[in-house]
Amino acid sequence: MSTKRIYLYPKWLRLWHIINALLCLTLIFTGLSMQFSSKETILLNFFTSVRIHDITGISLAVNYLLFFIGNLATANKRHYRIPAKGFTGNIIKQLKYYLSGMFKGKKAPFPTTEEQKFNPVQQITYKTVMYFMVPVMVITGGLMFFHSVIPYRIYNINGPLFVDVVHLCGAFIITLFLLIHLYFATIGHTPTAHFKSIINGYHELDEEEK
Amino acid sequence: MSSAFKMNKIGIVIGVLILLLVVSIIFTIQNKPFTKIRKKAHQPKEYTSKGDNAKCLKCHTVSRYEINNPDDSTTVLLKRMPARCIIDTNRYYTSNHWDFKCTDCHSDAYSKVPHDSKLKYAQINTCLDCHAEDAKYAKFHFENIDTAFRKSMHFKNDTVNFNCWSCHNAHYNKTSMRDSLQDIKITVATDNAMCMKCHDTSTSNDYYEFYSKGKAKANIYEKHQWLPMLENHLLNVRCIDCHAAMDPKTLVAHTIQPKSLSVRACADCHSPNSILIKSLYKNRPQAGSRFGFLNPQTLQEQDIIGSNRNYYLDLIFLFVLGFAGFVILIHIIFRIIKKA
Ligand code: HEC
Ligand code: HEC
Ligand code: HEC
Ligand code: HEC
Ligand code: HEC
Ligand code: HEC
Ligand code: HEC
Repeated sequence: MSTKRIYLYPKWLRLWHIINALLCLTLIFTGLSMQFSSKETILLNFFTSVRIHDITGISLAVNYLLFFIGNLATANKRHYRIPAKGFTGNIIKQLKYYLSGMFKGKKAPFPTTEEQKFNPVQQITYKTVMYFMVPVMVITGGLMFFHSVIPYRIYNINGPLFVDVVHLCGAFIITLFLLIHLYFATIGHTPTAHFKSIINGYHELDEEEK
Repeated sequence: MSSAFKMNKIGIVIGVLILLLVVSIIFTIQNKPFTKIRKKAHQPKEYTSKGDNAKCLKCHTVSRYEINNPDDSTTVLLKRMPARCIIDTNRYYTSNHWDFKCTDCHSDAYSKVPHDSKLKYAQINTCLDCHAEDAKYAKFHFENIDTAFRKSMHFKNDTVNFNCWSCHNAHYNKTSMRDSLQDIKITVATDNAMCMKCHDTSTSNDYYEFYSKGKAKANIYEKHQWLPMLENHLLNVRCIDCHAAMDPKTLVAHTIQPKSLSVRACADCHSPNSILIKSLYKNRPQAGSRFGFLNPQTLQEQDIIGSNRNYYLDLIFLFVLGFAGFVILIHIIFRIIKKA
């Protein structure tokens, strides 16, 4: 059986992706350690968490630049371009597929192609996470790192607290995204297929997709 | 055009809604404590000391004072007043000892100018000379403070010179922490200034050296480099919160411990049972939680990671993550059954 492979993930993108994944996991773990800090913690101690969180946070911001510039400079940006028409309908179609279609053996409504590697659900979530959530986290994180730049009061509100809670909500949304992202990655033609392709760059087309 | 545009708009609307939610949560918990209620000051204070003090203050408020020329009675000499001898009358007349005559503490012999240089070494009353065993000041527990002070490193190192006045400014001493409506940052600044008079960032300081007997002075910033955001911490916590052993009987801990016993663990403050509640915030109404925020009394002016987490927010996060996990589990089961 010869499977057809298409080259979807260029080297820079895979490099960015794996670094981003490791940094994200570290940030979530050290972030949790700080949020749930106590003297008898089973997580990392506060001091080490702060140091590691600072370093990984800055690295992630730099790594984000790689993604941002890479997407500007290469054709990869095409995958993030939301089509003009019928997008809401497409999202519903894709959700229906996840909820029932795939169990009835139906074809994926938006198969992976070289032109469009994301289905509409992926498009909207990736776009929100990468172009809204991550920047929010980088900005609020940066503010907390350069703590003194935060106004002591924003109107009647405690400035640092405000930045903190926004950062926290963002962290939560990204964690939720990560959980779902990891699970959806197992919905390939085999459960590990997508993991393999983000490492070697090639996407193996399903029987039907060929 | 329209659909993509709509999606972006929906994204923005959701983002703004989340932001508004966050703002309103914080606003609700913040708004009340920010409006502080203070009793109106009763009668304006009646000063009885100002007349007498004017005799001293005509010289002790100016940088060049006049003194009769001993050689020529028709002229006066203009001389320089050392900066340490210039009194800020605003602070003096609003201090704890707001209605004191200079001569209540200093010898009457000071009315003669130039002053007799021997007066310099006259013993001045200590706090306990006036305040001990006085029911009016019972709430301050002067005796306990004195006992605590005698156990401190400072007193042990110099039992002769180091006394209450070494920290408590003779002329401007004013309680700050006892005022539960005081801005916490002002209390921190006031109290830290008492230590910084000696422990500043220089490597040499007259005050310090008078007591240290020639021992080299450490630069405070260098010795605390292990503490990240040092400047921010020193604006938000007091030296004594880390350096003094807490004493349940007194409001302000006075036993400065050897440096090896100082607080170094971040989680002592950055955790739900932060030591700050029992030190810096000791005089504030205790509150377990407010709208789910732990240690809410610290939230008016500070945000202490690990100590101010929100119970409900944690719960919502846990619930949503749990729900997502549950849906995934069901999905997996279906995938196995249907072999999809
Ligand atoms: C004519 C100006 C003048 C008047 C009036 C005056 N002083 Fe002074 N006083 C000085 C000067 C000048 C010094 C600094 C002396 C020095 O540097 O040795 C001083 C120093 C002092 C000191 C510090 C002594 C030391 O060096 O530790 C005290 C305490 C003091 N005065 C108290 C008083 C009191 C109390 C009064 C009022 C009863 C008073 N002075 C009135 C000029 C004056
Ligand atoms: C509550 C007691 C008290 C009162 C009231 C008081 N002093 Fe003093 N004063 C002291 C003490 C204690 C010192 C020594 C402080 C030290 O050694 O740092 C001192 C020191 C001084 C010095 C020398 C400062 C220095 O750094 O060497 C001057 C000058 C002085 N006082 C002037 C005055 C004048 C003028 C008044 C009245 C306006 C006054 N004092 C009222 C307790 C008092
Ligand atoms: C010469 C006697 C004397 C000395 C020395 C003295 N005090 Fe006082 N203190 C008084 C008197 C009298 C009052 C009351 C002032 C008033 O009328 O409000 C007072 C008031 C106070 C108050 C405010 C009490 C209140 O009810 O608000 C504090 C706090 C205080 N002193 C602390 C100290 C400390 C700390 C020292 C030593 C560094 C000290 N005092 C030294 C006599 C003294
Ligand atoms: C190492 C510096 C230091 C020394 C020495 C010192 N104090 Fe204090 N003291 C402080 C600080 C800091 C405060 C907090 C001031 C505030 O915010 O009200 C304070 C506050 C106080 C208060 C007010 C407490 C209250 O309940 O409001 C009293 C009373 C007091 N000290 C008495 C004394 C006495 C008496 C001595 C000498 C036996 C002494 N202090 C020595 C640093 C010192
Ligand atoms: C977060 C807790 C914390 C705070 C706040 C803090 N310190 Fe320290 N400090 C320490 C610890 C821990 C050490 C011991 C450092 C070491 O052993 O190297 C120390 C050391 C010191 C030393 C001894 C330096 C030496 O090695 O000779 C001095 C003096 C000192 N602190 C003064 C201060 C003063 C003054 C302030 C307020 C401006 C302050 N500290 C604030 C925790 C703190
Ligand atoms: C009048 C000057 C003076 C003031 C004010 C002062 N100190 Fe000190 N402090 C000293 C001197 C001098 C030493 C050194 C003692 C020695 O090692 O012989 C010292 C030592 C220390 C040490 C180190 C103890 C050790 O283990 O070696 C600490 C911690 C400390 N001070 C904290 C404080 C704090 C906190 C305050 C304010 C509440 C304060 N000091 C106010 C003069 C001062
Ligand atoms: C004595 C109590 C205390 C200790 C000990 C302490 N901190 Fe803090 N820390 C605070 C307070 C109070 C703030 C709040 C500052 C604000 O609101 O701006 C703070 C703020 C911070 C911040 C800024 C983020 C925020 O919470 O708003 C960081 C990062 C931090 N601390 C790290 C540490 C580390 C790492 C250690 C241990 C080496 C440590 N702290 C030890 C009291 C402490």
